[in-house]
Amino acid sequence: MRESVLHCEGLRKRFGDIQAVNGVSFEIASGESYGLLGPNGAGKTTAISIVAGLLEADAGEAFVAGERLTTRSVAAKAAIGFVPQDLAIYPDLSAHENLCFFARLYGLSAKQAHARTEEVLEVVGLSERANDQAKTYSGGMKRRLNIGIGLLHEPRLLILDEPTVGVDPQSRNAILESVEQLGEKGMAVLYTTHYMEEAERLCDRVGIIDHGELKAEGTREELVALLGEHDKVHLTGTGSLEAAANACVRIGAVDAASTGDGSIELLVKGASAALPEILTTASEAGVSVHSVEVEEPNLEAVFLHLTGRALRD
Amino acid sequence: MRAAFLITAKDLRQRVRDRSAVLVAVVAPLALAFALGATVSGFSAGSRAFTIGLVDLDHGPAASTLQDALAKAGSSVVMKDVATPAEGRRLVKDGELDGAIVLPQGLSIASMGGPPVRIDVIGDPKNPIGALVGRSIAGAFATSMRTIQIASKALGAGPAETIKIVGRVSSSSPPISISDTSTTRKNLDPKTYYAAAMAVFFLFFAVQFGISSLLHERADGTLARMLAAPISRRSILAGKAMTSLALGFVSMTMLALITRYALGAHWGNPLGVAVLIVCAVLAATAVTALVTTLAKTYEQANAWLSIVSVVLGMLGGSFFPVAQSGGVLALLSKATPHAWFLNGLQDLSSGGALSVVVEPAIVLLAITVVCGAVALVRIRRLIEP
Ligand SMILES: Nc1ncnc2c1ncn2[C@@H]1O[C@H](COP(=O)(O)OP(=O)(O)OP(=O)(O)O)[C@@H](O)[C@H]1O
Ligand SMILES: [Mg+2]
Repeated sequence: MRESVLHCEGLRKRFGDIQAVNGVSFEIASGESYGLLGPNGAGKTTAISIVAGLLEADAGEAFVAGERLTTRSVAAKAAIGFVPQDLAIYPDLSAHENLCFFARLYGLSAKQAHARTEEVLEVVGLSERANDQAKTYSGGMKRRLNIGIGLLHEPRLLILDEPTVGVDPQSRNAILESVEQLGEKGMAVLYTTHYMEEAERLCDRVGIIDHGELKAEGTREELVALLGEHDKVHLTGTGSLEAAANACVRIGAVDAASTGDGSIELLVKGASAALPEILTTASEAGVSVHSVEVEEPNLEAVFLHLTGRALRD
Repeated sequence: MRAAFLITAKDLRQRVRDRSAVLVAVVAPLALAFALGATVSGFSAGSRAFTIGLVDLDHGPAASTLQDALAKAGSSVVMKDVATPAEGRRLVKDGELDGAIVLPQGLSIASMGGPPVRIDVIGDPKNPIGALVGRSIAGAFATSMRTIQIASKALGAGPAETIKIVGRVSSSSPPISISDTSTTRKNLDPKTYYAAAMAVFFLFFAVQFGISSLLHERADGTLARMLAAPISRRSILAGKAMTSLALGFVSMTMLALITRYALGAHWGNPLGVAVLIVCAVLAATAVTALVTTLAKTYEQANAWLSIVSVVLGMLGGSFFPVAQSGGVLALLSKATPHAWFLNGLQDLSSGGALSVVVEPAIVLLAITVVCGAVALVRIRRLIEP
């Protein structure tokens, strides 16, 4: 078995009335990438802040590279690279200066820091603009610098909190590629996202989190297997979609339904048999159906199955 | 400790880069010491008058406020109206002017919160002192506008008030005679008095760039990043405190040296002066740290620190020797670091032995310990992501 890099057990954190994280446990092995997939407010950032040693958990414990993690544990933090959800860079310093400063905070000597800075600039594709102040960068370039800072000391565990939010598709792809490469190099990656595609593409294992609880975890295949015989039916049309969705859930074969932009997503046991009844119910509820697709089940369907809600509402 | 030094070095680099610290720590106090010292005493024999051109493209109240204020500098600075920037450049090049200031269109509106504008200064490399005078005047003017803008915002004065306040403050630079008001303590000569008074007044602004930037970094998320690094919270705090101390020391030392050699200020026994400077910088940093821990946001901290610095400066005699007015004010004055610093200098320059700085030094250190201890207890909650 591969060596465990992160192990956490029963993490809890409450903010006033909100139980942001409610008993989360998971484990990441070296070279493995683990995704926390959940909608806004699910508790991803809170969970990650505990694991990065920024927040003290109310209960539970975490170990990184065998070191017990608290907000004061210097040894555990040395093994972690942290990329926060919101940009955290000095806009009046250049990419080079930003990277060098943090490299030295992570204990690299001046010489090592310079060498690593050059390498990281290369990885995040900022070598050409390395000496310009970060405030002159585009949004995507700032994001890449934000990520680069987390890579400087070649951490055992890299924590990325929604690194692709607000990035154009091209930069997004570049970011995903560099994360994939890091995983190949043996770094353990903890990645949060509410994009199902990213979780499917990047992560060896995914934990589905909602309302602070880990609803299920496993490889993509394991999670999809939770659906059993379920298929995902994607129906587009006009009219009272909400009413149609509510009517469809009452059909025996339909497990869950949610409406999106001009569409209804249904989780159906045995789609081919149930399809006629679904279409009749939908049109009776006042929807004129334009198209029907039976899709291969994906993590989005798993989320719908586990929570009764769509990942993005 | 290594991490603390790295943080200080990073902070200082940022501060030098954005120039605001240089303006507040050196240029503004120098310019005001120069202008106020000149207003009171005129310049010592041998120093000549500077002729500075004023290109007024603004034609608004802010521009005329500057003209009024500068007219007061009388013997040392002569203002001359110039029609266009081009003419200003020509006259400076021909040596008819020592420098020129271009007040841009929209300056008055900018001072009331409109879009920012830039005050240009025309100088001739062959006449560096003339250019410095021009730059100092423009710098001090810009700073006073900004400080008053912040203050009037904090006090809730309307935008129209702002200009009036600018006018009032600049026209109230007091042409006071400060000789023979006290029998026991010989007064500093006006040049030294204002050099020291402005230095300690702006010291309280200069040290803000260290400690209170904690709030800035917290809002920007860079503090969280430091907290995720394998360094202790104590070293983050130490780094920020050292930034404040470094800015304070550099500012005070430069001002003492420059006013000593360029203005002929008599600071007194260098060792005694050094002791007073060290203690004043420590006290200013501790007071600033304390005020910072009371604020929730960077903006709030900035506003409160400006108010505290101005009030302490006024009471402490940075603008006029309050301590000699007697009564409640004199008593309040005793509670300010400014007053103890200035009194220490006065005793020192009246030829007192080095021992005269012991009392003010102890008081300044006591202020440091009290404010610093409270700040230390409270500051923990600022060093959170
Ligand atoms: N400092 C805080 N104080 C109070 N409530 C908080 C705090 N941080 C998070 N919360 C609450 O905890 C819950 C979980 O928030 P969290 O930021 O962990 O969600 P998230 O999964 O990262 O969401 P997103 O995808 O929007 O980033 C939310 O309801 C949020 O309002
Ligand atoms: Mg989040």
